[in-house]
Amino acid sequence: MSIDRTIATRTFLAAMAVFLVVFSVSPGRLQAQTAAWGNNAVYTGTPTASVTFSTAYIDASVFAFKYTGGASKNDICTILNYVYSTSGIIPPAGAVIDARGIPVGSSNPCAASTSPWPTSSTLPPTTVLLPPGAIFMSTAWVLPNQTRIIGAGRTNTAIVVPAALATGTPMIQMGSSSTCPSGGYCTGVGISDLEINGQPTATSNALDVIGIQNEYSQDGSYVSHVTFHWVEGIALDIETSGANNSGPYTDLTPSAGGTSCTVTSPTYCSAQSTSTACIKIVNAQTKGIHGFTCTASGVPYAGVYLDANSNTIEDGHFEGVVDGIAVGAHDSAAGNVILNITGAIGGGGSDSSSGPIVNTVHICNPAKTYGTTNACTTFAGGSVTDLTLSEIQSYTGAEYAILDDETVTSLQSISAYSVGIGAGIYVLGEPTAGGYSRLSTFNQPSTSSSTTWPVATWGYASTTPPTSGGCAVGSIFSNSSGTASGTDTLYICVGGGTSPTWKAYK
Amino acid sequence: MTAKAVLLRFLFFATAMILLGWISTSPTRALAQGCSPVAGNNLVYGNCSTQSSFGSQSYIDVSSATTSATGDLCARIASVLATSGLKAGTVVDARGIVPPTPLSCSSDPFIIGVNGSGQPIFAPPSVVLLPSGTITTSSSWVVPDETQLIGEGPGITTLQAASGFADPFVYAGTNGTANPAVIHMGAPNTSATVTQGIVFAVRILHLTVDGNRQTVSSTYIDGIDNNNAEEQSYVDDVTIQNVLANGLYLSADPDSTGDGAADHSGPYTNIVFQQTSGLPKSATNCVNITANVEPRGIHGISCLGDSTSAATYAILLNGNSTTIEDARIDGFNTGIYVGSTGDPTQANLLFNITGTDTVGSVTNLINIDNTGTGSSPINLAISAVSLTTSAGTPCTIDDHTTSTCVTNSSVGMYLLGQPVSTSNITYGYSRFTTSPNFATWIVGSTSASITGKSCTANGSIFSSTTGTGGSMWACVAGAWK
Repeated sequence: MSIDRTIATRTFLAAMAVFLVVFSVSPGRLQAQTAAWGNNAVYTGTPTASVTFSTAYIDASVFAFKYTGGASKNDICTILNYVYSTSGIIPPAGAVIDARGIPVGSSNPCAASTSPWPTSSTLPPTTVLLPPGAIFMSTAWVLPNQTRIIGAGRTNTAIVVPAALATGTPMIQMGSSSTCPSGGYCTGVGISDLEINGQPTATSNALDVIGIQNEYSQDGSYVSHVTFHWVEGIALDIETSGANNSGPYTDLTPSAGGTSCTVTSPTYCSAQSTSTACIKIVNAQTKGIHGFTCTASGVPYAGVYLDANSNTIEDGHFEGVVDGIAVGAHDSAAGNVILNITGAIGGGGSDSSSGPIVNTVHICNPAKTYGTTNACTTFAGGSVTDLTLSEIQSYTGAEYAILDDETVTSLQSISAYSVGIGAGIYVLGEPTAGGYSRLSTFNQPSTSSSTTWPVATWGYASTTPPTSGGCAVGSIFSNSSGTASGTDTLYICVGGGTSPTWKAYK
Repeated sequence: MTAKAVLLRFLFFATAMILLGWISTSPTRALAQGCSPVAGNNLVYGNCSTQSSFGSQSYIDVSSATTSATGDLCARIASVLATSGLKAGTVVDARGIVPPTPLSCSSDPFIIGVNGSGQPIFAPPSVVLLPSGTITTSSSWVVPDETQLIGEGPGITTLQAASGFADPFVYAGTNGTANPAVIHMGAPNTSATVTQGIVFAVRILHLTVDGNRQTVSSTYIDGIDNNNAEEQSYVDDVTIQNVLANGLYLSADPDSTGDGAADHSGPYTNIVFQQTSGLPKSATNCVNITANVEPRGIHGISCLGDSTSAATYAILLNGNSTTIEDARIDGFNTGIYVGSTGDPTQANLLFNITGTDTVGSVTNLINIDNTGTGSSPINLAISAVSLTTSAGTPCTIDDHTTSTCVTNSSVGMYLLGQPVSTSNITYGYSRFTTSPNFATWIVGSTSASITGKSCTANGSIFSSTTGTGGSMWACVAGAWK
């Protein structure tokens, strides 16, 4: 063998060796095996003492730089869609996808007709961390099964409605018939720590759309710590048995949208729709709505529509809706619990422009004839039963804490300057011949100038009841100091008209 | 040159070209132009041309980003928070800072400067992760708008007031008072030095706040105070200890009603208040909710005093429309004091409240006041309360509006409604309780069980579901009639 041949041969072999070594440890090679771009880099420790990858985590921002030749592919929707659509990036068992490093904003909107998720019912479970800034949608998003999206906090991450989204269309759907498993329903779909913005651009009017809609996601599915900014349609829409056992939906701050919106302080949409609502629950038995503040201009007929059974609504506050919660407005409602709800007129901050409220809770009577200017509607066979209300409060003078159309009862603040009025408890049971089983602690006349009381209650004292001033007909009064010889222990309010009085019974 | 030599040279160059071509077109090469990590960024797989990893902009590790810094923990956190262009919501991870870097703070990590008017400049929204260990601070911390402060867990991360603790936000204004506190949720506004206004989404999670029995101008300091943080603000999974004033103080801005309050904040969940040394003072409160404030509630709290039960009240409830649920009181003389200031507190809901005597006895679990100058509490719903105590004459519910001391160790329901009154004279209250010791409603199938029997609560009603022997009876002077 000549020297020349030996050098050439050795060069060839060395080159091949280098090639093989480089190839065997290159990212591309690793990617082809088990790693993917964006995997967390972790330290292996001794004895190798090197950096390797963790498939539990994928930083999607690295894919923003994959397309150096096509800037149009650098938007968050396209990148996430690529991550989900490309085999080998997300392990079958799922991963955290960190998109917080992807640039967003008006200069980098989602590409036309592109959602972060391809339509599939077999995507792996993922948790997606969204970046701060405004994410301009181009089409509605449908969250797949076992998918959670988490923003950088209220107003930090804002998902902005596309200007062309059709009226009544949801911006985000929690599952769908084509993305949920074959059983028909999704689980574990979550949305938290972000803003849903119903105003397409900073200078435009809000759109009549739905912020988030759940018709297909059940256990483990929720919305929490979410602000809804100027959604003119329904901020959160939970409908049908497909949403059964979802929730709880916690810590929500929906503000109603409309037209004639102003962007300088105070910011609000002065022309709002009567059909706008913060939350709608229709024929779904959920784990409830726990904690919300619903604000509007005073025009929307109701903040929350509760047309379903077996839900809890607690720790809520309303400003600027006619009815805070309308129960049974469009469908029957039974077995619901509503706790600690307040209504008040807006005010207090320089940005506050919320309107007044009339009824904190309005119990509809489907058999009653309603006009078209009311949250309640008339429909055959409907009813509201087994409803427990506790600590329902109106902080607006002369307005109503509870308006019960089933028993024609109104619990009204007795004076315009009152700091508030409400009921410690108001339980509406079920209809019996001639009435309803019912228990209330409310004990105020209907108005400051009236001598009629709206609801019978049970009074207690260690003395006899007043002999004048009226009382709620049918009420009971117990005197713990009643004597054996006298008829001064139990009293019943009788009479009616303008001069009901306590009559000794036993 | 032989044909074989030509072939070998061809193989060499061909191999080299393949190798170079592969390297130049690989993902490694393609990523090279997009890499711009800064110190402390999380490294993720996805190569740059000269680096093995790619920097994630969503995260900054304080220990790496401030390696040249000489300051304490707070100074190093503040230096990161002051970074120009810091994205809102960035995770600022200080968990990697360990001794010998002192886990002490001479300043508030969330104050990153002073403006031309001398007012503090607060950090932009972020998520700050604190390290394990005890962090001593000489100054109160203000957690600003849309900021989360997260420890590694109660007892694992402790924020402790240092000796000589100072709080620049103490202020007595026309609308209220800002007390000295280890942590403020938002900055209390003063008419001149601080004008931050209302804040939202201020969150404190997974740590211990230790007041270390410190004072400011002879006033004992609070643990966590909220004068300004409203919707989406809360405290979760936090232990508050060695605080001799208020563990958790929920009030209004001291300067103006327009600058916010603790309204609609919460619920405050999974809180433990305890003393690890020394005796609490009579004015020590686990929670203090002041008049006219409307937080969403306290859901899950243990208020632990000491064996002397020297602390008078665990929870002062003078606000409105608040739920307190799943609470345990131990070692306080009184558990929940409703309407202590005489303000017309209303529309509060208390349920699953337990008094125990493991630490010290509880005399009254729930005290409803009637001694103030304003209206008495109304519309108070109490459900599922129980008291186990060694106190001599305890009241599970002590209702001064109706002069009722419910001594049953547990009570299913006690509803206090509104006054039965005329001409401004209150005769009684609408009320319902399931305690058989007070006027209640008993339902049975037949009156035979009560006929000729004595009864304990005058004014009680017995309804017979069969009507045998009479349908309705009343307890009159100790006998059923």
